[in-house]
Order: sequence, then structure tokens, then C-alpha cells
Amino acid sequence: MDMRTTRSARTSRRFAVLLMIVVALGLVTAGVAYAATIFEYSGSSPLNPGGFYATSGENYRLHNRACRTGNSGQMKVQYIHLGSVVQDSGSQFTNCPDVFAALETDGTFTSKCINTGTVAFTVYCQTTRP
Amino acid sequence: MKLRPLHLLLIAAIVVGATAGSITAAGSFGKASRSQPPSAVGLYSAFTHGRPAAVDAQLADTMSASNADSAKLRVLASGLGRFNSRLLAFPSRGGSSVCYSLLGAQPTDPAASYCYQPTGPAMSKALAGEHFSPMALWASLGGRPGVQLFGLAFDDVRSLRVNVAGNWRNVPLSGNGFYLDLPGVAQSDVGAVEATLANGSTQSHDMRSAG
Repeated sequence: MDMRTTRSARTSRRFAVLLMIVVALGLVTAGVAYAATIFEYSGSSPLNPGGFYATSGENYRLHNRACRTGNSGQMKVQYIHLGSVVQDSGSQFTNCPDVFAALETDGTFTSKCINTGTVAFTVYCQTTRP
Repeated sequence: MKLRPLHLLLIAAIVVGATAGSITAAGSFGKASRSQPPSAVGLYSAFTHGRPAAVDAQLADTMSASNADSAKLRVLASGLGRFNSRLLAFPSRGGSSVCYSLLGAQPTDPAASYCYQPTGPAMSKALAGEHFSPMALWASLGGRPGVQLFGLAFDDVRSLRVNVAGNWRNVPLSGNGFYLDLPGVAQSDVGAVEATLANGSTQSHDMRSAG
């Protein structure tokens, strides 16, 4: 094995190690994202003032967050358990993706997001699990 | 150095892998993108002088969703109220946004976050210029209903008070954070939050109308 072959083999090994690191980081990132099991429960139709989107039922959730899309608008997020509101963020100005309100409590709830503004607008509401 | 086909293949794989990882990480919340205002980090001395905090597992997803600067995560206060809560804050999106969070001692305790642009165009005109941001979280968990009022204030906020059912209550300020536990209080009874600034002026934020 001459000098050039040895250098070439070493360089290839370095690239291979680097590739493995990048792939590993990518897998970790993807794994974390998958573990969060993000679920968007808002639809494309605008919400009128007082209108809301909600998940179809209760499930174990890690967060419930919401924001108006395209402009600023007042919204709130709620957790509901057995038909009663058990947590309410209060009305906050939101504007996706920079300005949003979120509930962070872990538990079995229905997630709900509500337009608390004075005009109709589209929203983005996200929780964990359907 | 002369690049061989194998090297080119490896470089391409690295670029594709890194790009895919970035897209996966950034795609978890919010799809829109706008030009970002300047950093607001300098408005809160906690971010420059405070002690870095370890990322809380309960907050990890929100921090990821907001592109948080986790090195600047700060615990502003702890041992708060009925749920022995912690008030945390961190900048996000390159410092153009900031977030604050109230977390209970247990993950099942009342907890909430709010991310906003203190000086940015993403905020409503109604909130433009406010040197503080309050949140009135109501919860009825564990048989202990009530409101927890908390938030984040600029360095020049000297004091805060809140009108609860017609009566003014002082809101304790701890560095850039503030918190007041209001057990048994309905959310609709929490009215204006008023801040007094270093120059003697006051600012008011009505929780029932201004958001």
C-alpha cells in the first residue's frame, strides 16, 4: 500500500465518520419530532368571533397552542375534561409563528382553541395526539 | 485536493442530511416567515446577567417550536403560589421574540407559555409600546380553582398592580418576572394590570379587552 492510497483511505474514513455523525444527528432530530406526535386540529375555514376548533375527544396531551395566521388576533386555548373547562389561557394576542399562547399541562383533555377577537380569521391550533 | 466520486457522494449526503434535519426541526409549529425585528434581549437584564437554566422536559417542545435560544433560558422565580410553580423566560427567533412560561411542580399542574415580539410588527397596535406582558391563567385542577397572573417586564418597570373585582392588588416583581396567585378568583374578575415605569409614567393592560 503506497503513501497515496493510505492518505486516500484515511480521508475516506474521515468522510464516513462525518457522514455517520450527520446521519445520527438527523435521526435524533427526527426521533424527537416524532415523539412529540404533533397534531393540528384546526381547519382551513376562518373562525368567527367566539368560534372554535376542538379535538374530537379526550386524549393524553402534552400541550395545546394556538395563533392567528397572517395577522395578529386575540385567541385563547383551553383544556376540557369530562365536558368542563379545567384550564384557560385567557385571551392573548397571537400571530403565527412568532406570537402564540400555549397550555403546557400534561393530562387527559380535549384541546380547544377559540377566536376571542372581534373579526373572523384563520387560525393554527396544535396539540399532541388527535 | 482532487475530489473523487465517493467524496462528492458523501458531501451530497451530508448536505441532504443536514437540510432534512433542519426542516424536521423547524416544521413543528408555524409555517409563515416574515422579516424579523431587531433583538429584544437587551430589554431584559435577566438574559444577559442571569444564570443559565437547564432545559425543562415539559418546556422542550415549546422551546423547539419557537426556535428558542436555550442558552439564555432563565428561571426568574420559583416556589410560587399553590402549585410551587416556576416562572421561566427565554428569547427565541434570534432574540426578536421572547417567551415566558409558568410551570408547576408536577407536569399535571396548571402551566402555560406565551411567546411574543416585544417591539416587533407581529404584535397588535393595541400592545405596541407596552413594557410588560401579562397572562392570566385560570385552572381548576386538583380541586384548587383560581387564576395565576404572571408575565415578563422590561428592566424599566418598577412596580405592577392588578385590579381584581374592583380592588387593586400589588403584583410582586422579581427581576424581569412577575407573579401573583389569586386562588378562588374567576378569570372575568381580573381587569387592568398597571405598570409604573422608571420615569414615573404608567401603562395599563386590560386583561378583559386588550388581550
